[in-house]
Amino acid sequence: MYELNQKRQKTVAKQEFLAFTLGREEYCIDILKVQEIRGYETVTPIPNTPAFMKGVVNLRGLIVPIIDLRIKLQLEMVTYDQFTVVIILSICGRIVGVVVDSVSDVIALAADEIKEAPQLGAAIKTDYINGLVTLDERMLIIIDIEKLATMEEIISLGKVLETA
Amino acid sequence: METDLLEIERGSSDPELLQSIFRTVHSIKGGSGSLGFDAIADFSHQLESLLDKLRSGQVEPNRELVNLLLRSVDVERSLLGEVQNGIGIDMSVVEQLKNEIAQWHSRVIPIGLPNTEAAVGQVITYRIEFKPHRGFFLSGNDPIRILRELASLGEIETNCEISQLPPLAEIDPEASYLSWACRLRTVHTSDAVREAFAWVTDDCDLSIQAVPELGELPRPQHNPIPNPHSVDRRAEDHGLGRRASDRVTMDLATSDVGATRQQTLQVTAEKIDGLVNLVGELVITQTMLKQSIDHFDISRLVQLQATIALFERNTRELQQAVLAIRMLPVSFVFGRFHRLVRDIGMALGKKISLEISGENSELDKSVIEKLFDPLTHLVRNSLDHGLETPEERLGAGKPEVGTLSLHAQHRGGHIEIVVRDDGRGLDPDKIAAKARALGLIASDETLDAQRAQQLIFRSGFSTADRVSDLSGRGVGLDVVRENITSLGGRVEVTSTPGQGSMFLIRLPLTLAIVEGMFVQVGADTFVLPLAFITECMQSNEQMVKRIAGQGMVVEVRGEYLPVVELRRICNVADGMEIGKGVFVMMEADNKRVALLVDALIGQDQVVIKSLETNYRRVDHLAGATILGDGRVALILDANSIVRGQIH
Repeated sequence: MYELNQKRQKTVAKQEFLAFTLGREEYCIDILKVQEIRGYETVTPIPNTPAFMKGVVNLRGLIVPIIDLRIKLQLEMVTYDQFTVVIILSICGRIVGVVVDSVSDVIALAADEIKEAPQLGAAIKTDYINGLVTLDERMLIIIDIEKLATMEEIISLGKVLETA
Repeated sequence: METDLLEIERGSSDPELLQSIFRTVHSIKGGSGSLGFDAIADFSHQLESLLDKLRSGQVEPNRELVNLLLRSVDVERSLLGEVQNGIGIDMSVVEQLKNEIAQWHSRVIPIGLPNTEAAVGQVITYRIEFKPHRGFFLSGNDPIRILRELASLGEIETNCEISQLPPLAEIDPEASYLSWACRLRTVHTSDAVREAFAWVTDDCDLSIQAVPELGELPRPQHNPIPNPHSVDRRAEDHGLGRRASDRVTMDLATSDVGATRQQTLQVTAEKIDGLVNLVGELVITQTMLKQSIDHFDISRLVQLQATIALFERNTRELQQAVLAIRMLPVSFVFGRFHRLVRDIGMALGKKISLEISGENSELDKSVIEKLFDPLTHLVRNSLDHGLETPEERLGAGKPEVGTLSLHAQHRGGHIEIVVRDDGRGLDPDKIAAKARALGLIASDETLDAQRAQQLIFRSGFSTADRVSDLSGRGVGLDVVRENITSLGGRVEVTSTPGQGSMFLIRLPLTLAIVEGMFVQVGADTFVLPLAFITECMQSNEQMVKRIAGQGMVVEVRGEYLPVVELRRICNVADGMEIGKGVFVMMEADNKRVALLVDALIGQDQVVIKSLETNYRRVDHLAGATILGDGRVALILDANSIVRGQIH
């Protein structure tokens, strides 16, 4: 009975993450924020928007903005092909899509498995990184997708462009 | 209630108004009591007693009393709001109002009528005649219950009058034929006795007379004399259910009961029936289509096309009918301003008359709701800064009472709402001074009237000498403009110093659908709202003239229009040269431009999808739409394109 309780307690404490790759790095985001995963289809660009804003797509009648995480994370650019994946997220009450290279798997992590992210100096802004995980020699970077893709940043950036 | 009270204040002596107010409060009391909402029932009871005095002529409605009653209406609203939405209210406000009402009661001791407010404990005999109307049972009432309740008040003797009973064969079991004459000996007041009949006063003939024990001739009384003691008794009885004092205080004067409730709509049955019919037709057309396709051969093509045309008509009609459901008359918004203008006018010591016209014009429900805040701000501005005090007005040769008018009118595909006052108007010198102070213009620059008037919409701009509670902080008109633009509309101001100002709000009627022209620039398709297009012309080299080496214009029938290259606005990489595209003449705001696109593709109705839901507002774009092949096309905002060019 006691062991059963212990086991139950252990599974409750785990949080599930969706792992995806971008270039040579692997990231995880909270799976509860993921709505669906789609392929990369024609995106309609919106003029006068920041570079990481690729445009909008039609998601069953809803206009959803698509963000290029590579540009946001300042990785090198690649061309998008049929293997490119778009993860549709529901964050802050909005539906947003992010372009990634590929999606790997769903991982359940307990709080103690997540290690704190090291400070990499003031030059590299890493406040969107919630922690690091080691899994079979892979290092997964857990990111707070809301911080990375928040509209506030996009909006304020947009405002700067408008008044310029 | 509020409208009636305002009527009374304006001097109407129509007794029906008081009756109507009394009946409303009475119903609220009855309903809330039987549903267990004690706080509302209790408050309503006190209000009702006071109103009873009013309607029986024992009290004359003066300004103070009307104020008290208006505040009571606010309290009722907030109590109801608490029940509906769970918005907590400050019970101390309710208590205070109850005390004031009680004070009014005690102030008015009716003269000339014998005081049957017995000292507590004294037995009074009442002679009660209770004759239910024929349809008494139909409202779910039963005389026996009422008589039992009377019996619980004291000693009762009843005499049943059966003379109206028809023979058994002719009796309608659902009709009431009996009446009663009772003698009730009780320590309770006539008020409490009448309470037993609270639900049925309209369905019976009732008379309750206190018969003094000494056998004097009973005086006919039509109204029970309200007793402050009975008020207290009720308070004890109900136990009030005093809520904890840590509830949020609600600003009663600006309570907006409808705002937080889950959205519901009241729609006439007629509109719904119309919808049902249209859907029926749609189903029929769909069946026709299916049949056509099932046994299709090329000879049937014409018929198929006709059916599809019918299908299109049905869809369009259905669409209009559905949109019409959400339309409400503007009076919903305008109506709320009577109270606002009255209160603010009194607070500022200004005499203001509010004129409303065109209130039957209809607008989409969501637009109406979003219109309230900007309109309130404009009205407050007018009252605070525009309209002068009575002395100033007389000094300027104007009538003492200032006029604020709200007007709504349909015009084409838009609705125009005008807020006009005959006050001071905008002072161009003051605006110029403020602009210089803010560094918006050079110190030696002068402003023409038009530009000056545009400046007041800037954030932080206010020429008010003093900041009042209402306005003057300079954080107002820019928000108003933003609110209006987010509804797809525009707001402009015209003003004559000394004579007044006029704010014009223009809003599109339907937010969701627009007739659009599809244009191509590079590999992208954009949509231009047809309403803003005047004509299209093929371009050729000779038409385009340059100015100062950079600007371009085209000549159209003697007029030179500035050229706007769509590919520049939209940063489309590849486009065509000037000589090979198409000019689309657009007109907005009385300004015209020639928009250069690569080609025209077609014309159709498009459903506007919001960019802001998941992204944000983008300059020059009014939204997006989904094309037949599933791709997204961006809808251009004609106003900003035309405006952007002129600047």
